[in-house]
Amino acid sequence: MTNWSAQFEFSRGDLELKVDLQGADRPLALIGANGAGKTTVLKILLGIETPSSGHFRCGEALLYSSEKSICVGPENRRRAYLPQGCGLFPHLDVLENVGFGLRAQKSLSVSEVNKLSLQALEELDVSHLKTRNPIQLSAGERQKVALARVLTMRPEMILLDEPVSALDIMARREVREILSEQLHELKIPAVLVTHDVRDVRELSADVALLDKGKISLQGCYQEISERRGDEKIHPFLKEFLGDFN
Amino acid sequence: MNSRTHRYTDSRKRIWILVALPLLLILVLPGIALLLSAGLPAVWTAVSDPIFKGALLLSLKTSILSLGLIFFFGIPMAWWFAQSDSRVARILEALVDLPVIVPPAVIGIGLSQAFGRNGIFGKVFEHWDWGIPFTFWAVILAQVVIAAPFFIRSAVVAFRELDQELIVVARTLGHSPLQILTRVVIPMARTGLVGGLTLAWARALGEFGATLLFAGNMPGVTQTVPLAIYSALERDVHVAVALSLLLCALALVLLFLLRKFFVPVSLKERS
Repeated sequence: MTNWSAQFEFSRGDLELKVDLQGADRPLALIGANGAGKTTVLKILLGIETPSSGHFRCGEALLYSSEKSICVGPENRRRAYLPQGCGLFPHLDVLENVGFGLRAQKSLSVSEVNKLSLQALEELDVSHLKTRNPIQLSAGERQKVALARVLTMRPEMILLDEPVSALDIMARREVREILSEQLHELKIPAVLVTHDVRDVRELSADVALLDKGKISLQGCYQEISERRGDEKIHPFLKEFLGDFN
Repeated sequence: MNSRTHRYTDSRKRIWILVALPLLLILVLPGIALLLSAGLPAVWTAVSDPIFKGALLLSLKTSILSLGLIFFFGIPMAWWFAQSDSRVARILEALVDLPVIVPPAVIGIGLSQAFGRNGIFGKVFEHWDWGIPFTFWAVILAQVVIAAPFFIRSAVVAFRELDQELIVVARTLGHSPLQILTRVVIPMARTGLVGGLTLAWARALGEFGATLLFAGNMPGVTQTVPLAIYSALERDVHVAVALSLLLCALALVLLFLLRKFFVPVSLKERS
């Protein structure tokens, strides 16, 4: 089991964050209103944005510490990122997209990269798409290809930004199932930004609510959903939980 | 759409064409006049003129080398301009455009003041016994200064239009900034970059004012095709016309080749 914790302060323009998050192997769903800074939190964990102070520890590895002047770059953090639009490169075909991360590893030959990429595509039943261009794929297929690319990297943590928001209902269900299966198999921490309570339920994720720059609540779904009837419940959380049991 | 609407749309289109016609004629007429006034014998005389071969080779050599330098140094500069939020970058970005609005003759004088024998940097080069003005390198320098802004402007726009999420993804996939530039940024911005290169190359090939003032007009050394046309005008106007026509033809052929081989089929078409 990998425990992780992130505590940091960040400020840019109107956005001011003072975040304190912890997690383990169970995925953590980061929820909050638009503009609350959820994606910025992901980018800080990835190392794309640098906070003004704080720390980010994952297992034994200290990835950021303002006190010890440590800041591991995103290329060396082994945090995989699945953005909202899947992040597939339009100038590369599917196989090249999946092998893109492996190409950065100098120890692998081109044939080894292709072999590993094909294996990852086969694992998600999309190897028949290997010669296609990403724009020729459906939203669901794109998501699977992006996930295959993440899997080839053997990451130590996965960060997902609204992974199913652009999909239709059927594709959402399918991608959620795949994500749940893969995260369960990989047994690595994951943080996902979402507006859909079904993501939380399907992935058996914990929930953290980002409000006014702070984590105003963090806990497991079961605990939080039991507070649905509570009069003092945060209005955003009430809306988020909706009518689901 | 009914026939009445059709007629209305057609008549509106005709108005636009009528308004555009004078400008269109001014743009196209010089080319047509060149075609009509230079007969085949004149073109042949121009081609066999000993000055032509030397000037053409020099123009090709210098413009291609200038283009290489513009690309090599222009890409990192444009990438920095596109990515940076700093005020320094904004000021420098505006300054880089200066050669576009300043007359080439002024650039030529500026280059002389900078790299001439008594110029600011000229003294340093003089110390190493390397005089730049009136040499092959002066032609290169003049072309680079005049043509680079066209490439840099196009590259900055192309880079700014890129999906920044893809850069983030590439970084998290373990690629270094240089690998991202060569494997993601340049291939994805290829259409804009080729457009910029084409503009810069055309500008370098046609460069006249700055080259004349800074590099001179010495056949075989600094005389490019535009300067050869200028010299030919004093001797035989037919040769000058034929040389101009050949320069146009060369520009068209290279433009066509660049577009054909380097601009990717649009991604929409591929789907």
